[in-house]
Amino acid sequence: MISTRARLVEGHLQLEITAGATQNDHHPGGVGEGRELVSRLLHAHFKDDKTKVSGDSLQLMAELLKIFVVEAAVRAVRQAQAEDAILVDVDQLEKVLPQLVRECGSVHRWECLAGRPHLSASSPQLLDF
Amino acid sequence: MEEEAEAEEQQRFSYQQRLKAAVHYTVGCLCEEVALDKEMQFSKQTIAAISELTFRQCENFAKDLEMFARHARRTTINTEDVKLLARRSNSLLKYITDKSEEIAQINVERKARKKKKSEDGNHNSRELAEAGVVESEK
Repeated sequence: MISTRARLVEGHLQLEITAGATQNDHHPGGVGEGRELVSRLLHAHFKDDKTKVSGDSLQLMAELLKIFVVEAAVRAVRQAQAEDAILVDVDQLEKVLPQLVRECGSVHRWECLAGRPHLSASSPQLLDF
Repeated sequence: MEEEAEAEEQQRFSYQQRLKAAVHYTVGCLCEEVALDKEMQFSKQTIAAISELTFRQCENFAKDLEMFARHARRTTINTEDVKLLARRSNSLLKYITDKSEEIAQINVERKARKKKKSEDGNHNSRELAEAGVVESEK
C-alpha cells in the first residue's frame, strides 16, 4: 500500500522536491535542507498552532540539520575505514549513531538511559517509547 | 463521517510521506558529497537510515524549540532557542554560534543593500544593476 501511495503522489512528489531546490538558490548561504523544507518539518511537529519560527532561525536550523547529516555520514565512513570495509553499510552506521544522537539529542530522551549502559549501546530504534 | 476521518488520516499520512521523501533526497545529496570527498560508497540502506534518523530528530528539535520559546514566554522561535539545541557538544555549539553570527551579518548587509536600493531608486540605474549582480552571485 505504501508503494501505491508513493506512485500516486509521485507527480506531487516531484513538485515538492523541485520547490525545495529552487528556494535554495535564492538564499545566499542557505545550503543543505531548503528553508521551505525545514519550515515544513518543524511546523509538522509543533503542538501549538501559534508557534512561529524566525527567518534567521530557519536558516540556522538548516545549517544544524546539514551538519547533523554530514557528521553522521563522516563518522560512518571513519568506522567503515577502521573496519577496512569496501562500503559504508548500516552495521557501521549503527555503531556511530548512539554517540551522535547523544551529542544532539533532546534531554528527555536520554536522561532515563543514564543508568542503563547496555541499552544506550544499541540502535536508536529501541528508544521509541 | 467515518469516510471523512479516514480521508483526512490518509492526507496526513501522504503529506508525511512527501516530507520524508524530500528529506531522503536532500540527505542523499549530502551523503553523495561526503562519498566523493572521502572516496567511500554508502549503501542505499545507510542513506535511508540516516534519512529516517534525521526526520525523527526533527521531531525532537521541533518540540524542544517550541518548549524553549514558550519557556521564554515567546511564540516565535529565535536563534537563541536553536543554539540551546546544540548545547551538548562544545564543537557543535561553537559551530552553530559562529553560523548564527554569519547569518545575522549576511542579513544585516542584505537589508542595508535593499534600503540603499530603494533610496537610490530613481537615480543611478547602473548602480542598481551592480547590486543586483552581487546579490545573485552569492
